[in-house]
Amino acid sequence: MKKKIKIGKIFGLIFAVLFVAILVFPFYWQLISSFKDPEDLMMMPTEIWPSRFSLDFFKNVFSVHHFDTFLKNSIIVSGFSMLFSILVALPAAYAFTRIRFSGYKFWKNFMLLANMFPIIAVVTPLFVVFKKLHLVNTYAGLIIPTIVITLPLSIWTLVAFLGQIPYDLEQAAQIDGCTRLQAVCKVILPLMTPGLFSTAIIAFITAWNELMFSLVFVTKNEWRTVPVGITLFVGEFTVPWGDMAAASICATVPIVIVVLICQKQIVAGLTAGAVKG
Amino acid sequence: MKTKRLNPGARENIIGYSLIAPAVILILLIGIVPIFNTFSYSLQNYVLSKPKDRGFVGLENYVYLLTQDKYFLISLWNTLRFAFFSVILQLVVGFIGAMLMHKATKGVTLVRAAVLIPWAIPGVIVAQMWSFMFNDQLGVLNQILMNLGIIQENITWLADSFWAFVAVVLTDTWKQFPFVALMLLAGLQTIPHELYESAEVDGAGKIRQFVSITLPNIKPILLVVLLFRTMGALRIFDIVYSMTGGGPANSTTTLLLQAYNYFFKDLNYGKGSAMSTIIFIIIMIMSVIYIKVFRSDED
Amino acid sequence: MKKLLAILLASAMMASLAACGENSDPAESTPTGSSEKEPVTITFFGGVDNTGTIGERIELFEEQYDWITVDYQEFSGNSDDRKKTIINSLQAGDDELDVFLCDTIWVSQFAAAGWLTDVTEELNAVKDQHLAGPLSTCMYDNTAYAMPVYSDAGVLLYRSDIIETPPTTWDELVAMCKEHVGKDGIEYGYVFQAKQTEAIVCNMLEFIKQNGGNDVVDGEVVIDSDETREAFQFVLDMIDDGIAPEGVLTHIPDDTRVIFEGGKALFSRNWPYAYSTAQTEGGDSKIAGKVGIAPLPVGPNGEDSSATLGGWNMAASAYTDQPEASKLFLEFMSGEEAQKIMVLGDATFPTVASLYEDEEVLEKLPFMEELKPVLDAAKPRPQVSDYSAISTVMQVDMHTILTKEISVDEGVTKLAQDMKDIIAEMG
Repeated sequence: MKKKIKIGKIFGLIFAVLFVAILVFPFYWQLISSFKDPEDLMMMPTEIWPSRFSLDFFKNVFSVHHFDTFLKNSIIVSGFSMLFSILVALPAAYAFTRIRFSGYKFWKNFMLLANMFPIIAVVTPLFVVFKKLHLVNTYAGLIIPTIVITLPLSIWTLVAFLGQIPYDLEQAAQIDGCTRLQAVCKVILPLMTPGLFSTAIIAFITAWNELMFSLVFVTKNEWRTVPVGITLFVGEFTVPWGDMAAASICATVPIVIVVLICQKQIVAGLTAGAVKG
Repeated sequence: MKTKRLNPGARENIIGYSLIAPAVILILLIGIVPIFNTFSYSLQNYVLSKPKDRGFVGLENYVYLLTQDKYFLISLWNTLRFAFFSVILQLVVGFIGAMLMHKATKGVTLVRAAVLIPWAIPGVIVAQMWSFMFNDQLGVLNQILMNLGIIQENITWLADSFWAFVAVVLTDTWKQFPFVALMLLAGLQTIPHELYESAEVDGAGKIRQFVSITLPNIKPILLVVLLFRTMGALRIFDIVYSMTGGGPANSTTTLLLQAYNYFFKDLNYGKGSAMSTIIFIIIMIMSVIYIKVFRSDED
Repeated sequence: MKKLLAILLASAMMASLAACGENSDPAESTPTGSSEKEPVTITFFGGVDNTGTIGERIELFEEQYDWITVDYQEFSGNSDDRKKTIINSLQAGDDELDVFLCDTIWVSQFAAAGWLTDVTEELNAVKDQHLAGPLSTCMYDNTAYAMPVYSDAGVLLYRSDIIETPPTTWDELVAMCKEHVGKDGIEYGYVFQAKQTEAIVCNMLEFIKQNGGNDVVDGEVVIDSDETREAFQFVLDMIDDGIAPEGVLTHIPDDTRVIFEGGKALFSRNWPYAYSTAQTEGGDSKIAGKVGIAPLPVGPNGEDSSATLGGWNMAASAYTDQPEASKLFLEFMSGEEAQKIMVLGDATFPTVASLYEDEEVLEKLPFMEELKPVLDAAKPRPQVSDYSAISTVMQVDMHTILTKEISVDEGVTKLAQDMKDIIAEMG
């Protein structure tokens, strides 16, 4: 019996390592390419472990392509989109799970409509309106449409997480003399923390990936975000692989930082939940 | 676990509507209004380069797409099979990923951050880096397979309709699985340990535990994952656009790629809008099916 | 259901409100007239200024016209990405965009949409200075809507350390390939681009025209010919014989460039940009100083080498609020002085004929003299009112033939039929 478990564990471990290796490889390849010497990048056959390293591609990313501006813009746009969509989504999600107002199902499904339409079909009419409202080439002009992409996702995710929390807890608090708002703040929010931060990460990254609006609603260099900025690397014929690899590495750094920050809250929320639950 | 129903009263209505009002207004103004614009375009002969011919034509654009468009059927078929395979694969990979992270004890934080990385790389770049890996001459994939002795000469992956399709599915899976993994992980973590412990005491096996405890508990999250991934997959565009351009011999073209061609190549906003509306309807049907299926055994 | 209907109606009303502004007429070109010249700013959407020559040209322009400031905004070099942004601006009647670099294949489409300022007068004044091919890409309906800036044409790059005289016919090309493949690290004879994008259209039209075939003449599709069939068969044979790697079916110009620069191919078909990068040390190129440039070889039925004409023009938006300054900028960018800066910095083909004899240019780029005939003979892609629709079917049908999903004979028949259908639809 014991032997069987051991063999199972070893197989499990081998499987896990292989699984992770396959998923990590493309990223490894991107990382290695970005540190290669420009002369070695296109070597045929290619070097799986480079014989020499260089920071030239990273230098290009910041000196030639002004990637720092793109990063700043992306962080601002994604950060605010995340913040606003959570602020708007949280009350809505609470209403959808806890309050049985007439037509709640309809409105919950209604939220999805905005995510069902191909974005390329709506950029042109939106551009006309945004131009009139002087929202072209502004942060607001990027954040508002991005929220529409992140909002339905945030609401539905939060609804799923809220549904996992027993309603009895909230009622118990209300019986103990809390108002509804107090019950939510004191009981629900702490239990929600892992879900809330997971949603925040999801909203942030979804906003981070948004390309179409940023491509069309921005016509000035100083307002471009990372995905659009990277398309500027491409020449009429040339595709600078090395620069793009380095840029994509840089683009992941803010995400990793955001995740690492949120991670603490997820774990903290879990332990808090364990104590109270 | 189920929420208790309150009597629908005026008070509940007021609270309910005021809580969802900001979200509804935002979605309505920015999300829905332009859709009606597009829908009205789809009923017009609206080609930007022929401003004089613009006018109402009823359902003519739809009829054209469904009966005369050379690439409609192939792109519909591709879109559906693409969505099917890539969503399933993302679900499997994402679930295994979530399980591994859930089980792991050491270095979880770092692993979790690392797993999210593919999702944080803009889609354009993901497509570029994967087509680079699949490149017949410069690609690392051929290189590795050669080193391992599996192939003798370079394979031109993207010139073969089967492999091109596989490449697109793999690329999209790699890019999107972190979303699935993160969501499912969060779902797994809300399941109390006691449930498994008592099941263990009752002598339930791993599979039994999965079916009777894990699955029902992550079901609400599973719905969200399926819903949003399917909506995304049916709107696949950037990966196909830069990896294969719809080739070889148009075997990987998708509905949105066709819509894109109508909009930005031909400046035919009438047909492009009609194509977008068709995509919208397909996604709507799929979503309704999902919601119905998941709800039917909930109530 | 009622509720849904009410929302639909309300939204539809809002949509129609939002749509109201789209049909605003382009601003009538009213010259500012004031003689003291109030300072103005014009916004210019261009490509990425990798070599700095765009900045240099703008600086010079601003020196000559001190009342005009050019606000230059960089866009992706990728033609499709740039088109999206520009279409949206023009379609909204945006007066912020004044002048932009316009792909030669956009001109007729944009002009038909009424988005471009008429520059017939300006172009007529300098007509004699420019090459005929690029000039023809500026015209739509006998009116000039753009001014040529630079031109591009497919050329043959060869390893001058191995080949002394470049091949002039397909037979010579094949013979040389067979002789040298497998030696000196040469793995492939000839690399070109046939991915299902605009690349396959440019390349295949060259093969067809090199063999005496043609695509569209006076609105008639003439592509269904033996010359065309022979051209496709030639390309297929090259792939089968290993002269060209099967990978060409997935390659775009930069893939070709990298393979050639890695020293793996004897010949390559590319746009001229690849010549200057191949001759530059320190980047991807392992063959710097060993590269020659020549016209593309001709097929058994062809007489003249034929290349596909590419390149970019300058156009002014019809919605510009600065028509006078915009036109001045167009004239300047298209003029000899500006083009010389561009040629020396970017090694692109100028459209001003005299620059091919300019001493300074020839000293730096001696191959320009030999290549003028290539450019003179280069042919534009089918000049029909809706080129993009015809390009889409050509991409698909050509790729279907080269991936052997269909026989050459049937494939060419289908290609011709599909092109005819599209032209008939255009009316």
